[in-house]
Amino acid sequence: MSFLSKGDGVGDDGRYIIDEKIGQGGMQEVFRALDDKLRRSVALKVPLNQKAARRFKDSAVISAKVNHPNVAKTLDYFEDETDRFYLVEELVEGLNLRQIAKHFERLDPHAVAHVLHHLARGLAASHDAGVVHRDLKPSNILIAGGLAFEAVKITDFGIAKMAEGEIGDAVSGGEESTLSSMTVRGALPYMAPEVIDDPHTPSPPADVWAIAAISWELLSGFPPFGTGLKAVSAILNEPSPALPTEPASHPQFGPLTEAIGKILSGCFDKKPADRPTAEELAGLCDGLCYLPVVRDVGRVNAYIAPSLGFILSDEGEEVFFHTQNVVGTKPGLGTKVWYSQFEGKPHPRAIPVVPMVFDPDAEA
Amino acid sequence: MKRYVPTGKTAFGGIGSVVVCKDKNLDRKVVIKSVQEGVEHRRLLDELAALQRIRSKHVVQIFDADFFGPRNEMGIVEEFIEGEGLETLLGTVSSGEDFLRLLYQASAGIADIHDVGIVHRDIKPSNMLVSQEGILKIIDFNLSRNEDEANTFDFVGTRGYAAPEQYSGGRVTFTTAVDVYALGVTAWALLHGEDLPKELRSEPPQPDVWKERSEGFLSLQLDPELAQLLNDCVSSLPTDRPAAAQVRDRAARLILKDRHRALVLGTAQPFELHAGNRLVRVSHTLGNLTIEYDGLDFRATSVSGEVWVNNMRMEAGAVISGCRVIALGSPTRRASQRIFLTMDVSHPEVVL
Repeated sequence: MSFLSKGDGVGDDGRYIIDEKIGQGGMQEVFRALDDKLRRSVALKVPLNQKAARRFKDSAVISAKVNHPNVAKTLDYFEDETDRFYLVEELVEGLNLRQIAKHFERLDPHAVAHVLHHLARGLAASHDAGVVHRDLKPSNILIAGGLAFEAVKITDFGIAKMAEGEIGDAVSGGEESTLSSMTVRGALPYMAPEVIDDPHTPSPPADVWAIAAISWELLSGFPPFGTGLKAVSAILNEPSPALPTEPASHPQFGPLTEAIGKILSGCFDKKPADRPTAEELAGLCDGLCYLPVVRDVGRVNAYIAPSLGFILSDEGEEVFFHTQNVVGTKPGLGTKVWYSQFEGKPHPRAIPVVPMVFDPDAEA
Repeated sequence: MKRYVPTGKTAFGGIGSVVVCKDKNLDRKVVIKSVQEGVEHRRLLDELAALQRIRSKHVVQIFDADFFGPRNEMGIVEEFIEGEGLETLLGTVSSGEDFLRLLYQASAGIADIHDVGIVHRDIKPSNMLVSQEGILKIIDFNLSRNEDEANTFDFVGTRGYAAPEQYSGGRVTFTTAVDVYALGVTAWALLHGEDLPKELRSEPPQPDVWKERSEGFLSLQLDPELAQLLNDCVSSLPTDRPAAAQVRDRAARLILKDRHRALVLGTAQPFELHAGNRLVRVSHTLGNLTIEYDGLDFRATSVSGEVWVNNMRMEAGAVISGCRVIALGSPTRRASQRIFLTMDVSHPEVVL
């Protein structure tokens, strides 16, 4: 149970008024709060326990050094009379990338190119400021607007520093402690080999590996080196994985998928020094051609031919699509889909069309 | 307040004093801008709150507002940007990609401000900072004074950058067009340095006289459409000026010159049009079509027979953008007799 509840005011003159809890990680709780002075909504973070609190301020100071549109901005930090610590961050209303990915078998390469490009830019600015993230995973990447995909923001810089003790203990402690640690289990598929060898030495190339692994997973539907403890040996020993055949050979999406795959494979070099830097990675992404990622959600409501169908958007508009523009399995009638919409007559055209395997409307 | 400790440095631009301080809580530099005496604090907080509605990569972030110093002055705490004021770059920028990137960001920031119905009122190079990462941010909103002062003639703005209507005196309601005027002058200064043409320096400025004499931006080696837009920014009449978003969109397009791709499917072999492969001919008994890429647009340069795009007859010269369905054979024919192609135009994203 949290010591904070709706309506509580914290900070000078109770400046930040708690609205509701919007998230909890292994280390901290996150609330939506109203900054009464500047009248804006913010994310207010508090450490979960005293052990985490020790490093809480360090992590705040680290994240505050980064100033980039693709990094959630640190707005304020303070401690109150009762020795409680608070970090105030830009509020990113939406979903994290883990929650986004849960909706789909895999994402289309246009969305992946967009995510990778923005992550690389945010990371390049962070590394430039001397800040290494060290715990990049889908749940630390926020997508403003959720499925509307308005902006990509990295968060929880410096939280790795809070978790440092835990990761170190777990990796050296073998299977039992590793699997019992939520923090490690979430981060393992994205860990670079040198991090597994020595979790205490943070390095920028490990962040590059991590965003490449995240992008590879979005593109393929599963992490490049597997999950759980099997991932450890694969990360350490196996060569850079080839993308699955289906997305890479797709007539519509294959060329872009392959272009992304080529960039990613360079990021999985076992030797950290041989990977592109975040800046170089961003430069490679500057050359990728992709469609603007402005997305809508709708439901397949008719097929007029085996390969031609209609989507009824959540706004009630009929949108035409061709099955060659579908990512993965052809969606059956009634399936929820995620798509970008382009001008057309008599109906707009949807491309790409990404079937949703998890229907948010059907939940609860 | 002992949280903010002055570093002894002052920061760029702005009216009133601007001091770089160390925020002890977060161990980082911030900028504290004191507000002139006589400002009503409640009103200032109202305006700061209004600024929070702006969602932009190109507008400075405000962290806090409070009373500081021995005289208990109101100060605004803002992010410190490691970088340079745009005024240091004036005249050093050539009309190529560097210019386009700065213009794109300045017009994007102004468009974001205008999107929420706010007018900046003092756009000029010294109110824009360029970070080490090359990100341009707009600072120093011209916050209004108290009600009494607003009723008297009180020129706010900067000579050379203030639009003609800002000199008209009395109670004038400024529209977003004053920022667009200043954007145009800023673009000129970027290319030519801070010494503006005499017609722009006069009070009030006479931009139409200047353009009559010199042709303005049309005299430069610029994309003609962009040059015309910038000339229109610097118009005497506010209603003749474009929206900042129009300048932004043209600049973005030019940054991506020769970097678009079009994927065409439905022919025997899929093919791509791009800078290395600019022309394609589609020939069929039902119709013929030639598409050429000129670096900015994919254009149907010749069309004959029955060629339809998105269920409308395609005309020669038409620009094909976004994702399109091209059909050979008119819609009066049965679908099975027609040939369908898809053409999808994509381009790199400008991510700064």
